[in-house]
Amino acid sequence: MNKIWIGIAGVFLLIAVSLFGTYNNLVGKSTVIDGQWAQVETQYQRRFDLIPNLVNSTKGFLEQEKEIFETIAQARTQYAGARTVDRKVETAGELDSALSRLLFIIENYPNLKSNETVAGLMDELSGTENRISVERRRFNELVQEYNITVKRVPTNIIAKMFNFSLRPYFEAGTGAETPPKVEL
Amino acid sequence: MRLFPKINITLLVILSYIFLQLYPVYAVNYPSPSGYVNDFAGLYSSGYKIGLEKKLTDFENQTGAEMAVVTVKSLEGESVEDYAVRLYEKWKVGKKEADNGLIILIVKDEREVRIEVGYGLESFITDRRAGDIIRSEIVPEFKSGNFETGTEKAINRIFKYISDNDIAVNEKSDSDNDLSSWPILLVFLIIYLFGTYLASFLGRTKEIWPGGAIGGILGLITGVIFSTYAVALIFGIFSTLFGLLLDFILSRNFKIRKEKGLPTNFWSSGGGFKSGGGSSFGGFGGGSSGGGGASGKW
Repeated sequence: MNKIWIGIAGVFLLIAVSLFGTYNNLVGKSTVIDGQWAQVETQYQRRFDLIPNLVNSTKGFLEQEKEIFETIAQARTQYAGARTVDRKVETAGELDSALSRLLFIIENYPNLKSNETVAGLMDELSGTENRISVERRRFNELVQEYNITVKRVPTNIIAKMFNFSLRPYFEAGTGAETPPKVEL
Repeated sequence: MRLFPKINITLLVILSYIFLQLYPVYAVNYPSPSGYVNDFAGLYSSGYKIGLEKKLTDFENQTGAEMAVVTVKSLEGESVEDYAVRLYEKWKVGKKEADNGLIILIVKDEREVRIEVGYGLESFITDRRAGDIIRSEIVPEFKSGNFETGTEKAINRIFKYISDNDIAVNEKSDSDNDLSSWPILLVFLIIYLFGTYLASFLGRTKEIWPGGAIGGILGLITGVIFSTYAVALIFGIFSTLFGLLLDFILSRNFKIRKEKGLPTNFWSSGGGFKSGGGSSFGGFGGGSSGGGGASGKW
């Protein structure tokens, strides 16, 4: 009789231990994703701070390309005003494509490209674009790992019990998939 | 006999699952480091390679910063940025917490070059500086085929930027294996002591179920801590079986030689796990990068 009770207690202990373990595993993975999102945001902020410099040093050379500077200014204001993560992703995408276009335009002005200040700024901007794509890829890889865990049997039962839902991927905006290349 | 095909399919599924876990699919085969200088494309003379290796080793001794020079034949379809950052993820150049590493990647066929800067060096080797090094030191020399001169000039500039800023030398101390191997040794010691005690207990109980129960619980806990629920379950089952077997052997042994106690050689023979390969190069320190640096073409 005693042995049966020990057995039952053992089974309950096993269930409890694995429940805690799975829960902690999901919490851990979820937290890592949040941390990686912060990395992505840091890089966006870095680019955001770079824009005024790039715009000021190229504006004078590009009188006939007024439109692109207006687009950039607009996208920048929208990004600054974005409050939710979704909205931030969306406006960041717009900023992405506007900046890619500016870099493309600069490519077509050889004397501008050889200007030392502009060349340096281009380095920083394309470096930042590359950082964004690296951190974004890492973010998506973590989300994928987490989502697989949430969907897998039997973790999915526990995930449902404690409301662990699937996390959205960071889809890159148009023209943001590849960092702009600076040809030399 | 009717069960046979069913088991076969299950076995197949389990086996393929294990294989998928063991061998993640990589599109590109990134090489492994053989030192600070990795001339896979054969751009340098052997004399230059020895000198450069020494120079980079000395630099690491002085500043703690790890610099890898890598030449490859082709990017295998990747962009130079992606290739560099993935290579960096694999090699982990730089010390673990300091991230003070750097890779100079030179691609022969595509005629592209990239300086990939670890997080910790980003403030010394800014993107602007990296771009300038590529434009004014590397590209002109590489254009006329002087790979050694171009590399040398670039490295001297990088040395200068890092030394001028006097990167903290004390980062060096938390490098080598003293930090990473200590917890493992401790764990082995605990397992050994605990195992010895457990073996004597299991041997004395005569029955074999306590071994199975303890094995199962331990296996489950270990599985849960280090992996997922599913793995923990499998782990638990295996440990239960192992525990039963162990207890069976121990109990019988105990019965046979009551006066002598316990055979501890079960555990002592299991030591001697040592990581690392046979080559003299000990690998990089575990640093990471986040896509900083610059690229160029020659």
